[in-house]
Amino acid sequence: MNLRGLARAARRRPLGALGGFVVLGLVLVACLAPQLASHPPKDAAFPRHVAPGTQFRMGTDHLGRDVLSRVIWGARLSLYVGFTSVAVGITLGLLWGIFTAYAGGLADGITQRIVDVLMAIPPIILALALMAVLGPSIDNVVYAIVILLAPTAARTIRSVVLGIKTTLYIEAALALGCSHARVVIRHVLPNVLPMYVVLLTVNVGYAIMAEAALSFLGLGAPPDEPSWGGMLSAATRAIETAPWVMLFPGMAISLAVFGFCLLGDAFRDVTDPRLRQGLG
Amino acid sequence: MRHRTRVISVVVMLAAALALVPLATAEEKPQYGGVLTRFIYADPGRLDIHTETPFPVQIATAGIFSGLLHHDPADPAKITGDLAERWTGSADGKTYTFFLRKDVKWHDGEPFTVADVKATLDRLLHPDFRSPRCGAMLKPMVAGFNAVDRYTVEIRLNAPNSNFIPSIASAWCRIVAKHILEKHGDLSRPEAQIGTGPFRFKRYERGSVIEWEKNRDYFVPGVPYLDGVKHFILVSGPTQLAAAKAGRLMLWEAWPPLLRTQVDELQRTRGTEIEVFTAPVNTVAMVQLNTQKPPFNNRDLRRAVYLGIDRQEIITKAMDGSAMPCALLDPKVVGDFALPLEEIQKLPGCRQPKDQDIAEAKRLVEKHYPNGVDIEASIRSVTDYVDRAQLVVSQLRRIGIRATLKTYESAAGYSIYGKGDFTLIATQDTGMVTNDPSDVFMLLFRTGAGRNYGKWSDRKVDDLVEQGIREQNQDKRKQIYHELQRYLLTQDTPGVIVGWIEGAFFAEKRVRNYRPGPTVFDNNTFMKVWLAR
Amino acid sequence: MNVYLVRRLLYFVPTLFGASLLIFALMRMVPGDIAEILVYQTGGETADVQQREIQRIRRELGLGRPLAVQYLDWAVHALRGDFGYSYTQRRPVADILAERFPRSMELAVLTMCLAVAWAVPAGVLAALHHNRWVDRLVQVASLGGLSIPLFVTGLLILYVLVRVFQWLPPLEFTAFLESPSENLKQMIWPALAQAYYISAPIARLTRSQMLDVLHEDYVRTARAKGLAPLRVVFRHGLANALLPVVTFIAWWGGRMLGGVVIMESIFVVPGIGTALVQAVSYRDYPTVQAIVFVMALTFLIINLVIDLLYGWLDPRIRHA
Repeated sequence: MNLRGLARAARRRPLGALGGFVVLGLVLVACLAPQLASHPPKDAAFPRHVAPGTQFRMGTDHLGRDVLSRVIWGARLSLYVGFTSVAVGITLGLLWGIFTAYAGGLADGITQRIVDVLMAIPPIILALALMAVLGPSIDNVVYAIVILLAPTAARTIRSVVLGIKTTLYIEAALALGCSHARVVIRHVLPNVLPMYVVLLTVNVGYAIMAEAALSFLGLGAPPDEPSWGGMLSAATRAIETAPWVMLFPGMAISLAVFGFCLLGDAFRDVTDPRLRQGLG
Repeated sequence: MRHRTRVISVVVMLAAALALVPLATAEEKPQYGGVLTRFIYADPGRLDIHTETPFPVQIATAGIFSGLLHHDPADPAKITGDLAERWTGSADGKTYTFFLRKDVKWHDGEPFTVADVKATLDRLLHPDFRSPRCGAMLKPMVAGFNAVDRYTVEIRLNAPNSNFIPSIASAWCRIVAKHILEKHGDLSRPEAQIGTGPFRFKRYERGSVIEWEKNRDYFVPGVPYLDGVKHFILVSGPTQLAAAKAGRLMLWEAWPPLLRTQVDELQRTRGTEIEVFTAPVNTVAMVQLNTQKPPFNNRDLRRAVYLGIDRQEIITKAMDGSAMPCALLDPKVVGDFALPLEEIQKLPGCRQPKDQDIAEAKRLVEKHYPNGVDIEASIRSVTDYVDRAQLVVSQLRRIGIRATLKTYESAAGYSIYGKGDFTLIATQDTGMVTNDPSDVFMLLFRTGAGRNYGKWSDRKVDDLVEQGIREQNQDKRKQIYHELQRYLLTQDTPGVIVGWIEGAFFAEKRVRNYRPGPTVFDNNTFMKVWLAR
Repeated sequence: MNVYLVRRLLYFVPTLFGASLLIFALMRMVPGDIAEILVYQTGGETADVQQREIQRIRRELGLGRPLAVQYLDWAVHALRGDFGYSYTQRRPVADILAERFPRSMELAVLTMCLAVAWAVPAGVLAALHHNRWVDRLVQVASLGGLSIPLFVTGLLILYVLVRVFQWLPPLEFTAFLESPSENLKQMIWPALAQAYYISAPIARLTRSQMLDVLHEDYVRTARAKGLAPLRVVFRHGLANALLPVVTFIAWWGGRMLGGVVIMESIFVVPGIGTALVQAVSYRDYPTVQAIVFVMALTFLIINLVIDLLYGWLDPRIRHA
């Protein structure tokens, strides 16, 4: 994909391009957090509830911390959680789905029941119980979201693989004596990849939102960490007198989810073979 | 011979109450009618006033029951008779006789007699009966009791105890009906809420609302003035404030206290209709240290934390400025049993600026841990606590103690504390049950005390606490408590008292005759409150 | 078909067993139990009294027995419909379920109705005007619902109602059958917030399904012939096109039956979500087990119905 191809793709899908820009921006902010943020995010050194102005562009919160710095560092936390949990979770789902669909029979039956069990338990309770067992920390939030994401991904991948399994390609390859591993790598994987990529992009938004919700309920990252959800939770006590404490992290979450969803949409549109043909 | 509570605290409470709350002028005649609306911050669940401990349970049932004695609703500093029209005490302070009213009926029409008092005391004092509030107070004090006749009961104590009358008058020590206990077994359910109080229990919609209605056969003539009280069950903070701003709440006088920002918002919306007041909530905020494990099994490290914590900073930044720092006893609540504030504010630990104390604290830490020490700071996941904890962590860093914050779920956190699975509790509030000066020491400092999570034990403190309870002479009592406070402020201590919490609350101007009680549990029956048109 | 149905119903058993076992295990793994929580909360009692009390409460509730015994005891009773007594409310768990589930169900139904009323037409419209401004507008508008956290929307609604209208929804819950107007005055707001959130994926799915259908040969032929595409779609393929949308709606509706805790606490709706979270907080094992069991069962039933519907409506699958 050279630059000209990219530009052409962008023009054809302007919303997707917008999403891409937003995501890129967020990634840059997250990577450059130490340089961009003027104050350490946990430093409660300033007067509380200062309105946004020249000294504090996004004001200060109820403990006297710079909101802008916390929002910037919050990008790092949210993207870390979003990317890691999705990468691990969806990949787990990929391997799981391929295995179970390919193996079939009893193995398939058992793993399907496990997926059913995990999906039947309401996600909030699963997350609550997991966080209560593991304890509040950023990595534990990642694990909890992984457990929420993996089963659904596994089921989706499984149905794609089932669809492929019955095609002639596979039967022919096996008839020709290819090993199962080879078949998986050369025939199954490439066909599953588009769905895998779609799942990755589409779920990052969900993961970021899940982390925000968990932190809002007090179950996510420890309270002094600059988590956007955690900031929202603390902000609810002063909505009118200090609206900036709620506004900026809220906008940040929305922007992040927005960007990832648009990007994910574009990916999905691109990989859907029927739409690729365009309108008549 | 009538007993009254200590004169000084009467005067102080009276002054405080009069100064802080809107008064009905002497000429105003109370008007009848109207339903008072307020909220409870959590769903009570089980309603048994004897076995349960959460504040919402007490709020939900306060107006339903009566005690032998109570804090006078018109003048909460005074303890007066409720179901007992008068009482006497023996000269040696070990026997009290209560003469019961003869004209009282339970809400279901049954007559009230000494048999009900006997059934209540039998229940509360039974060794196998779990009553962490009333029972825990009375059981160590009471040697026995007996019904002298149909309307007289005599209670004998193990030893003279100044906290007996305040305990009997406590909102948790309510008299319940013998026939109801026999019928229902316990008082957990709404159907069992049959009392003798000014209000009947009308309905309990779990998670939604609790309603009381006027008891027309109440034994005090002419009251209550209200037709009823409605308690909304509002768990979410923003909803509580929204309800206040939208005029759905006439009174906000109980937990949680209003924040300064909330007061501002309220005054902007309803400024002309409401009156904001501050009142002490008789609750102390404390940093607790586990004295059974390193590093705080070492007295020097305990002293270092005591010196290093900046109470005023925590109060200003994380407690909305609404607390009285450092003191072991709050003069607003116990009068001059408390050491004068000027004296306390000069002592190391409390004095500002803190440079000297911080330097000394660092020295103490370095003496044992030249490279500093790493610990875990535990905190229950309650909004306010989390803010205070973060400040505590940064203050500890200044003296060489590197703490990582570990949050626990609100309810389950208690079991961690109780088992001693912590090194330092970054903050925990403890509410007092009576306004007697002994309470805070009995709850937090005595060996084996229920909230002494750090399992600290000091013979001298135990002795002084014991003496303070037994001493009948008021002046001698004060000396004992002064000595006790000075000891804890200058010698060893299981933690750091950050402050006594005060809260901002509000009442609509048309709510008349409400006065905060000496503790948060007292005076929420609304017996003599009325609404002006 | 019947074999399929029976097989699916049989699968319920291991799934429910697994789900209840998993939740049982998780609840026992989290630190603290009801005895400790009850006892250590107050300061009243001395330490030795507390220890005695903890043991006594545990004995009373049977928490000292081996875990396998506790689980089997619960399971055997549950299969008979006896969910035991709540540790915190001291009343039958079945009562709690019967009281709370209908409210969350009502909220879920209300939410889905509102969401569908806006999202499906929006999605259809977007598909018909593919890549034009209507399409972009719908995509962005529905994304707004998805990207603003639900609790923020809820709080904003509350704030606007109070600040702008000086009005608040009723704080007391009134059942719909008692007084529909009072009930709706309270329930409409959390339903709106939730509908805003859930309409996004519904609109997007509707849109992509419609786009698929619009590219079908028969539609393109009709278009070439000059017929209005919507008319053609209505007559020939709408059912098939919207089937995934219906299943999605049913699936989400089923999820929402579990109640959304944040909405329930902000708008004071005493639903099953709050009951569950409180039960977990207080380690009220019987209540947690019962609620999760019922919600899992509901989820499985809804999924089965969806799959059956799919099989019945889509001839391709029926003959697979």
